[in-house]
Parts: sequence; structure tokens; C-alpha cells
Amino acid sequence: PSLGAGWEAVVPPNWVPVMTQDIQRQRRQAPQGPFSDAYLQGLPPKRIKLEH
Amino acid sequence: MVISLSSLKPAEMSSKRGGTSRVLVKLKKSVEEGKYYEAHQMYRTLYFRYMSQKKHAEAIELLYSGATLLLEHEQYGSGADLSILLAEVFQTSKAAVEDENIEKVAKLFQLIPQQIPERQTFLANSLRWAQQMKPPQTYISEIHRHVGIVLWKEKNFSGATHHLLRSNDGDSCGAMLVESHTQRGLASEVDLFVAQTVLQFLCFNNKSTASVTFYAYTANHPAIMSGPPFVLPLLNFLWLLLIAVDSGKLTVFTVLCEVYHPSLQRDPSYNVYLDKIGQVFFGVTPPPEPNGPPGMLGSLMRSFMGVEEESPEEPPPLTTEEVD
Repeated sequence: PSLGAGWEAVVPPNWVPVMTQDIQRQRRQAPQGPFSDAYLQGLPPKRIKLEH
Repeated sequence: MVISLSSLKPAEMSSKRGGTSRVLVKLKKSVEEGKYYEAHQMYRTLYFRYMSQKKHAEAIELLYSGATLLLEHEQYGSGADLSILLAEVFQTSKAAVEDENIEKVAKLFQLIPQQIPERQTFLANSLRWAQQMKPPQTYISEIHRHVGIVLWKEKNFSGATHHLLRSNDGDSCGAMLVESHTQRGLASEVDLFVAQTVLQFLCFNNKSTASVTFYAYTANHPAIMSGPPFVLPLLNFLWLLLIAVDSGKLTVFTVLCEVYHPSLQRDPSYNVYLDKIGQVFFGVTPPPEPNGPPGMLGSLMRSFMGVEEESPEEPPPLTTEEVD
């Protein structure tokens, strides 16, 4: 979804530079690759097996 | 039988602690001589006798001593059996959930190897005991904290996460996640490991532990050099979200989710957590329950909240009607 105009007015002023920079960084972000097993084990559907 | 009830002098069977101690010394000697079967049967016999006389304190002392000894001698079946009996005495006697008794649970859980199925029965019974207390949540959290730390030491990181998520120990959780990520995760997942857990803590309405976990992780992870603000956008999202939940301003929450949409898309389950967080902290009305079988995302949240699988073991902090 496209970001609505005027979002800068909604958040505290000192957040704006951080968020502006992150918008730029996310444009260059590489697509997410496959997750490790260790990460996937934290997802809920696998939780039932956690103790073993 | 090396020892029998008739071989014990009346004074040794007395209700006084001195009598109990002498019985324990005899049983200990029996275990150390390798007479495991006889000792196990004797512990059980004495346990039934104490319980019929309502000598709960003596029964607890007997079972804890016997379970510890047998487990230390690698007699896992009989040791786990006495452990389960101990958790039952805690329940039936309504023993106070004191630090001392919770530590007994933690010690025995540690001594029972993970491949012994009775370990889970023992844990479930111990949690049921804590559930009887008022208010239960403090004691349940404390048991989960101990169990989570035991599993962390065993390098069972997913099990450790499961239990620490139900505790109030963000320092241990953050440190455990650093170890889990550096040993088992991919470099590209450095922010995802903490995001997953922080969002799950927030779904459990546990903002303070979410926050402590986040700072313990970001301050101690060798790959995270500085911050806040951080180099990785997803970490900034979490940092600002933890501030935003205090204000409860829905517009701020909405803007955060929009700005960080590309990062949040990396793991599709984050949408489910954020829907729940919107309801818990920002007054978002949950969508009406659709007819027919629940969708994949609904069942994801249900399984996470433990509604279906684990109701006897762990009543979740969030109740069923909040999840539905």
C-alpha cells in the first residue's frame, strides 16, 4: 500500500528523520530469502513440537 | 527387601522431622547400594502412609529427596515417577507456591532428561498446582522462567523461547535469543529473531518484558553495533512501537505499520501479531468471526495463544474470548 501523505505530522517530530531514512533504506532492501530452521521453530504452528 | 516397614523403629516412623530424617538416611543408603527397585517401592509405600495421615510436609520432603537421589543415579523412570507424585502432593495439599517449592520443581525438571516423556507430565502437574494459587499468573510465570532457563542451557532454544515468552524475564530471554541467533540463525535474520519474540510478548499483553527483551538483545548482540536509532529498519520499528504502545495512539500505530510495511512483509505472520497488538494496545475492534472453519491466520493466532493444544497445561494469559 502507498504511504499516505502527511504522516510526518502524526508522529513525534524526532521520529521523522529516522523514519525518512528507513523509507529510503527499505527501497534498497533485498527480498527475504528462506528462513533458517531455528527461526521457523519460533513460528506458532511448530510450537507443539517445541519440547522435543 | 533390605529394608521393610517392620525394620523401622517406631520412632523412625514418627511425625517428627528427626524420624523422617532417619528414614531418609536409610533409603539413601539403599539407593547408594544400588537397590533401586526396593528403594522406589519403599518411597511409594511411605508416601501413601504419610498421605493417609495427612502428613503433607513429610510426604514432600520424602518424595523430593527420593526423586533427586534416583535421578542422580540415572534411575529416570522411578525418579520421574516420584517427581510426578510430588507435583500431585503440591496440588492436593495446596502447598504454598513458595520459592523453595518452585526451585524443587526446577531442579527435578533439570534432572529428568528431555527424552523421558514423564518430564512433560511433571511440568503440566506443576503448572496445575500454580494455577490453583491466587493470583496464579505470578507463580506460573516463575515456573516458566525456571523451565525456560533449563532448556536454554540444554540448547533447546525453541523450547526455551516458548517458556520464557510466558515468563517476566526479559534479560534471560534477550540473552538466550542472542545465543540462539548467533549459533543457529542466518546473518540476515539478526533483526527477525528479536522481532518475532517482541511481537509475541506484545500479543500476550506483556509490554515490559517485551521491552527488556528488546534492549537486552540489541545491546548484547555482537552484530548490532549501535542504537537506537539502529541501522536496520525493523529494529527501529520495534523501538518506536514499544514507545507507541504507551501512548495508545492508533494514528501513530497505523503510520508505523505503513512506513515499515516493506520490513514487516518479510515474515507474513507479523501481520497476525500486529492485528492482535492493535486490539490489545490501540483499541482496534477485532473483525467479526467469519462463519465456517477459521482461516489460516486465525488458526495461527489460536495455536500461538495455546487455546486448542494446551488448555490443561497452561491457561494462557489472554482468555479465550479475547482471542476469538
